Amino acid sequence: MTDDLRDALQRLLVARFAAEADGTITLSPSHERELKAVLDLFREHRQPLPPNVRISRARMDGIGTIDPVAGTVEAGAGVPLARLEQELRQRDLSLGPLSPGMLALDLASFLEGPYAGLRVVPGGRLEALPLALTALMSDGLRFISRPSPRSAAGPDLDALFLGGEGRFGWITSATLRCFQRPRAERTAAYALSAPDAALSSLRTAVARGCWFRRVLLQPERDRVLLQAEVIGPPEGVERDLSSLAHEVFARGGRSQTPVPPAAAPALPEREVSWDELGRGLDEGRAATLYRIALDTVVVSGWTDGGLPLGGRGTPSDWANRDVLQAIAREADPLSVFGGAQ
Amino acid sequence: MSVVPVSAARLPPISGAAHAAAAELGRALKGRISLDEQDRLAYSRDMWPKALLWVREGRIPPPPDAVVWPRDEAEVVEIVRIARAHRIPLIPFGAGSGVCGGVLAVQGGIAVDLKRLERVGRVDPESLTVEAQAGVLGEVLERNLNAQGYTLGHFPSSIYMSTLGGWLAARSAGQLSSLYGKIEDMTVGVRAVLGTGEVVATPQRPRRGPDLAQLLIGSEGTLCLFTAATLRVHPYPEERAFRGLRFRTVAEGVEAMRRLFRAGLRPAVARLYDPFDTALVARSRHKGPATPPSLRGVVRADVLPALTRQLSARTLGRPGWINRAADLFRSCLLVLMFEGEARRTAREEEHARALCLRTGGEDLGEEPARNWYRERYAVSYKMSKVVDNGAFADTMEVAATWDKVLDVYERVRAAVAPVAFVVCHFSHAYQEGCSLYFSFVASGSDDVDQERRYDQLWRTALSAAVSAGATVSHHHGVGLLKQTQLREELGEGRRMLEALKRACDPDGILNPGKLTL
Amino acid sequence: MSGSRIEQHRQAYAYCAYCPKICRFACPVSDAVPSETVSTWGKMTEAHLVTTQKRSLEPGGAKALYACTGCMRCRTYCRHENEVGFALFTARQEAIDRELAPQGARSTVRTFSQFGNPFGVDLSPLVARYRADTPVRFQLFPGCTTLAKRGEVLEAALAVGEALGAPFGVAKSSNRCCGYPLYAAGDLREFERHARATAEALKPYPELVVLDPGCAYTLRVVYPRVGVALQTDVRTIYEVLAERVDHAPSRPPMEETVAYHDACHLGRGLGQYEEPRRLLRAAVKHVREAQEHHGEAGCSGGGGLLPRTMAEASVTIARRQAERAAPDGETVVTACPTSRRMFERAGRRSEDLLTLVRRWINAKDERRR
Ligand SMILES: Cc1cc2nc3c(=O)[nH]c(=O)nc-3n(C[C@H](O)[C@H](O)[C@H](O)COP(=O)(O)OP(=O)(O)OC[C@H]3O[C@@H](n4cnc5c(N)ncnc54)[C@H](O)[C@@H]3O)c2cc1C
Ligand code: SF4
Ligand code: SF4
Repeated sequence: MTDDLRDALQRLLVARFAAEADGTITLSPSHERELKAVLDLFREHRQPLPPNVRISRARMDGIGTIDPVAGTVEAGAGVPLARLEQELRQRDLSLGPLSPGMLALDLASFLEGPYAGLRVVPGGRLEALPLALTALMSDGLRFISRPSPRSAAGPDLDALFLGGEGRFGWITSATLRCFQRPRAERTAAYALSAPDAALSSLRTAVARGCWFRRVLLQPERDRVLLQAEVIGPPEGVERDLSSLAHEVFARGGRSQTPVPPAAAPALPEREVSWDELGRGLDEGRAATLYRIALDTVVVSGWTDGGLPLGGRGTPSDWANRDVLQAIAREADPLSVFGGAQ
Repeated sequence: MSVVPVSAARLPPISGAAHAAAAELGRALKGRISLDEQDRLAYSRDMWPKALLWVREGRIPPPPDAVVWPRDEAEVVEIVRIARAHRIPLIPFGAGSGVCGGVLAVQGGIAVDLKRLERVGRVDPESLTVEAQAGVLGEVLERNLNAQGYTLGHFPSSIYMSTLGGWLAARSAGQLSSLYGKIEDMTVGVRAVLGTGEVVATPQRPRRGPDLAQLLIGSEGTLCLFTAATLRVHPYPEERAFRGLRFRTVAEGVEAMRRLFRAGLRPAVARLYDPFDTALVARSRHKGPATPPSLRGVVRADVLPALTRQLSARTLGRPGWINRAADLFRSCLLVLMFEGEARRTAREEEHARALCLRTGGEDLGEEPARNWYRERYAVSYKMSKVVDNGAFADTMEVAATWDKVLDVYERVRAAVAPVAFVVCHFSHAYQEGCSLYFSFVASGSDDVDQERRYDQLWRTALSAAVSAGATVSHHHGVGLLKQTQLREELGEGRRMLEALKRACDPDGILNPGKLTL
Repeated sequence: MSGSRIEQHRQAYAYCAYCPKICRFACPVSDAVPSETVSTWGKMTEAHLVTTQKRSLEPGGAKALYACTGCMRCRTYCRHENEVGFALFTARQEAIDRELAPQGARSTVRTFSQFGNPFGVDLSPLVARYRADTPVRFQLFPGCTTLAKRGEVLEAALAVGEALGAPFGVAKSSNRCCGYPLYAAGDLREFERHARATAEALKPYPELVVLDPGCAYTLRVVYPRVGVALQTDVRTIYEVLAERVDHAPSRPPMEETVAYHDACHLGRGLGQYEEPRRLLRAAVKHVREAQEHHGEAGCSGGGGLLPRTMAEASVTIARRQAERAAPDGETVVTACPTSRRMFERAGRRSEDLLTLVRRWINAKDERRR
């Protein structure tokens, strides 16, 4: 970074410009306009963001309108999800069953990082948490999508930002979809003869519409224990438990007394396929599952396999890398956001 | 973009570029190319109602120069290579059931009919997915899955005449989308040939990075040609539960729907029909010239009786019903259908009914919903009669969050009332909102007047919807029709769409003139 | 192009041209040749534009008008109940008159005008060969395809009739073709003339049992369409035999698995779905019901002169139908001689219902012996 640019940034942000002894610079704009001004400066100086400069959106942590009719909330990119969830619960809403790893993040990291802003909805589909996004593009202009439950107005451009590691633009705020706060939670436990039976019971139950906060799978010598925490409205929880029991019994499983779950430590999380989960269980590995979707599950505590959900990746790890990088080059020709590299 | 129709009697000459490309294409496709007038004519239009007005007068939209029928993905790649070399547009073509002019060859070029890519694989019973090629017709796909014991759960009214590729390209929604989602929700991955000629296959999760599939789905032929998709399927439902309920007002009905979805219930179908609005005629009498005499005549003589028949078929379907029509016109009918596992279906329906009764609904029993199900594709047949009668009809499907739904409804009706007869139903509901599906019927003193009126109708209706906070389309896509409003909706964000276009189709050969690109 | 025949279809042409292609998936021709031009909508749009003089007929347009087997499958999905086959066959007259019809159609009309049938043979000796020497209860009209090409089916019909107590004798006047080829070729003027003459020739028969469903359909449904009222009561052989299937000495069905193809003219054309099935179930133990059957059944590609105007497409249609009706390679049983020929041309095993029933009866005899 040239000195000119450094000076300009300092003048703009004053105390929100922090330089560490090791050369790391943290810029913490308070709101979108300020973030835009920061990006404008980089562009004016025709410089990409250098690796030692971190732009923090932690100050952009406002919680805007909570709309109980549509069940939506507007939130700034820097809002910690745990805090947001707390606020929502007071208004009888919830972000749904997020994992400890997700709840430890702020909104921007959840949306732009490897979680890609996905949560699971009843029926087992992965769905983006935001109904709409506001982001700053590399030219400083605003990308604003329209809050609509679904749309056929061209491609879903929000997808560029979800899991996009900020390479296409920076999310500044989002309108998020909320569920009604789950009013009931019940835990049921079963023993099944083999991992296959446990997983297919669980997967079928998910497809039927069962909604799980968390599921523990514990392979033992000649059986697998499955303990499921079901959430939702009271009548929904009853329905879900009955569906799950049906699937388990159909595969020869038996009821067990649930073990009170220990407080979950925030362990690293990985997104794994059902096949991989099955292989893990076959090898005798226990698994704590979150975001149990038809595609994949989030496993807490495994140190290998699947996709690590902590930290950030680079475009070189991306699936369909070449095309996405080509898009990034077009979207950010000056490579302000690090572009395609 | 305004399109100038041409005479069906004499098609415009084939462009030099097309002639030049034809020989090469013919070799690459072993002769599966046509420059015949007959084929150009058949591929000149989709189901955009405006084109129907032209056909009635013996005109058609500008036709493509040629039509090709690739048989596999490699041939699609070859087509793109040749088109790039000759700088000639390619217009991906499914079955031409789009209703927004998406396949019109506004800059000439070659229509690429993908229906020979029609293979459907075996369902993987573990992952509950199936791979199907993009050209398969919807009904053929669904029947194939049914024979294997599954359903896709995607039932657009156009299922008989649309393809998987068309669904992906236009972000289609089926009538059971509340349960199964829209096509983008049921797509696990896509295969496509980009405008660069590159073949992309989006992998299943887990994977890193943005979801390229969601960037291609909805691109309406402007970024890629879909060749196949991996789709989520479901066991064929064990049971269906039906319920019809009557509400005193639209507001009450919408509120009941909202509560159903907010409560986490997942009906496959929740459709609320607004009161059959005879007030238009009455209002136009009071207000004088708002409705021109010609329209009034059509409304009284053709439209009202036609719509009455339509509504009777849709709602109760009993002969005696029509006598009590006036009563129903003041209230709204909500149709609910649940399907899936037997034990859940009945329980969900019970909960839904109780909730609706608490919200002011009156239980009409199963029959109205059963009847809706039996007649679910029937409305599409009305178009022929309306057009043959000298009038026109169209539908506009927008979507909004629950807080805006009533506002969108009122504003569109008010805006359109002077121009067309309008009815609306609320469907494709989700936790956050729903789609509003407006049907318009109108006429004009002559063909020129009708066309003018048609354009006016769309301008006013869509502007009203968008200004009240709706998105320009829930499932029909944009095509040629809604480009102005799409531009507004995208605002500065349109740059991202342009970036996508430049990366995926640097020469701009794919379906130019659509999606504002 | 005008005239009352066209006027009769004006609404059908227009409705299809303005229709959002609702029956798109159902048309066997546009299923096999996946082009919008030969979809029901595409063909009828051409007819609409030509008959309303918005476009003049050219060879390409004429070809499209001939891309229809007249299978009526589209009608199953059409709320307007458009008789597309009839409407398109009628529109073909213009192609015939202007010599734009495909070669196969023109040659059919030529042969017919010379021989009174599409095979260019004299049918009288064939009829004479099968004539009963004593008066019989049922006068049989085998149809020219069976007479000229499928003697074994006729023999089976006679044998089965005998066994079920329905003795058939080939009617003398069955040396005439019913005229379907003229109808399908689109020469409706000639067809009407031929129909009148045939009606006259059949006058002596108060009742006629017709073997070929195509002929039965033509006599019963198409003749009245061109204003020819037949005084003869036309029944299909399947109606007659099904009524008597209980008369067959009871014996178990054969231990075989077959698939059944509903012939278009018998099923959608005459509404006879159960009659052939009753015979079939009596004769064979395992009958595979196709996923698409009765009114939804697929077409074998043999109607509408398609084998002569779009030979390759017609075989593709047959192959696809056989794959759908008999996905595990079962023998496809059908009551229509043309369909059987089509399935065989598509390289699939196929058997006439009547020869199958005859096998059953013979098998019984063998057991008794
Ligand atoms: C009566 C009627 C009812 C309808 N009901 C519904 C409904 O309930 N729900 C709904 O969603 N839609 C409905 N539609 C709209 C229409 O059927 C859909 O838009 C459908 O997705 C179009 O599919 P198609 O195969 O006919 O595509 P086409 O009309 O051929 O093409 C539509 C667009 O997609 C592009 N395209 C087609 N195939 C491909 C491909 N393989 N790759 C890339 N681009 C491609 C085309 O270029 C064009 O831009 C209805 C239409 C009609 C006429
Ligand atoms: S036959 Fe009926 S359904 Fe088919 S295109 Fe014509 S009007 Fe439409
Ligand atoms: S009658 Fe049969 S072949 Fe002819 S258009 Fe209809 S479905 Fe197609």
